Amino acid sequence: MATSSWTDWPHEFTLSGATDFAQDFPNLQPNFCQGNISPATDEYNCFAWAASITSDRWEPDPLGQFFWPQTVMRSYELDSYIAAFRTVGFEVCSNGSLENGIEKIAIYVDGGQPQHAARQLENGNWTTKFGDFEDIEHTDLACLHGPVYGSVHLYMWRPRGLSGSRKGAPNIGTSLR
Amino acid sequence: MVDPDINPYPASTGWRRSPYTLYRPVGRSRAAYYGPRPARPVSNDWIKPKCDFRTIEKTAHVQVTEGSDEVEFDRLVGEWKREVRSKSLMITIAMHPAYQQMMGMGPKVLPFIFERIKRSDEKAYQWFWALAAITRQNPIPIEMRGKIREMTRAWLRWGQEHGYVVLD
Repeated sequence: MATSSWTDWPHEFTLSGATDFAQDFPNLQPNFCQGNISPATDEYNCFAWAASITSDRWEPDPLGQFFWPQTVMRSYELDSYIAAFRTVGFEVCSNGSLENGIEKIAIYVDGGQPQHAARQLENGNWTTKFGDFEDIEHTDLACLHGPVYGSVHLYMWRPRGLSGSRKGAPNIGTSLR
Repeated sequence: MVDPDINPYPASTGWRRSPYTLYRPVGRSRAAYYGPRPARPVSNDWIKPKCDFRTIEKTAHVQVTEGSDEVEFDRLVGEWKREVRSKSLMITIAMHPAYQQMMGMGPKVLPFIFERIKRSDEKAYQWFWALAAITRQNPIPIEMRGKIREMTRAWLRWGQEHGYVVLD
């Protein structure tokens, strides 16, 4: 796995070729990003990716098309997202600093509603899934601040490597939905 | 209540029915009885139609031209697809004005939607909101929610059962 920062956008990151990419992500530069790029897919979105789930799209749509934990109200408000991430073991915390054995996520909010989530990797970098595009690794969270995702509003944490066996949280992971 | 068959004002009284009122005495002018007429409005714009009906007729004609529904559908789809590229949430797409207009076209767009899904299941999830809203149906069981490929097959099956698409 490559660990050096990119000097230019690799062609695998197809979103960078979009005409309004620079306008949508004015703070995102190639040197903030590194590592491998997962192929573009529409099978999961950023919220599922933040919960390490790649089999579902997470969205509390009122028409009941997409996955949302059954015990959580389908609402686009922040409280609903917090409750949804709680079902997979996350709890609210105060910062996004790297801590041993802890996996953190950052929720971006714009206009009072969550727009995006990124997950912290063991090396301290963050991984983000861009819409239906690729997911990439970036060194800080502020590089995604902008008109599309807003800014980081909340952090949550859970023990790293947590799986579906966690007591008291039967909805953890993809297998026990 | 005045009985219209009985004239309460026979000629001998000096009163008679008038085409304007039962009560105005004969010989008195309208102005003397009712007072002066209200002034005419300075402008008579209020009687003009708010729009040109000939234009409406032409527009209506264009809208019923064969094939224009699909052209309009393609235009709206191109518009929202261009502008929602990096968005993660379906609600952002669904609230886009062009997506709303597309849904507003109603059931006549269902064949076009199913044809698109059948042609390529890439980003098929973007149609599910419109399908559910227009048809008011949800063929997606709870355990299938969020699983895009399975949902795509379920919607295509529903479309076939209801005659909107023919699957190979």
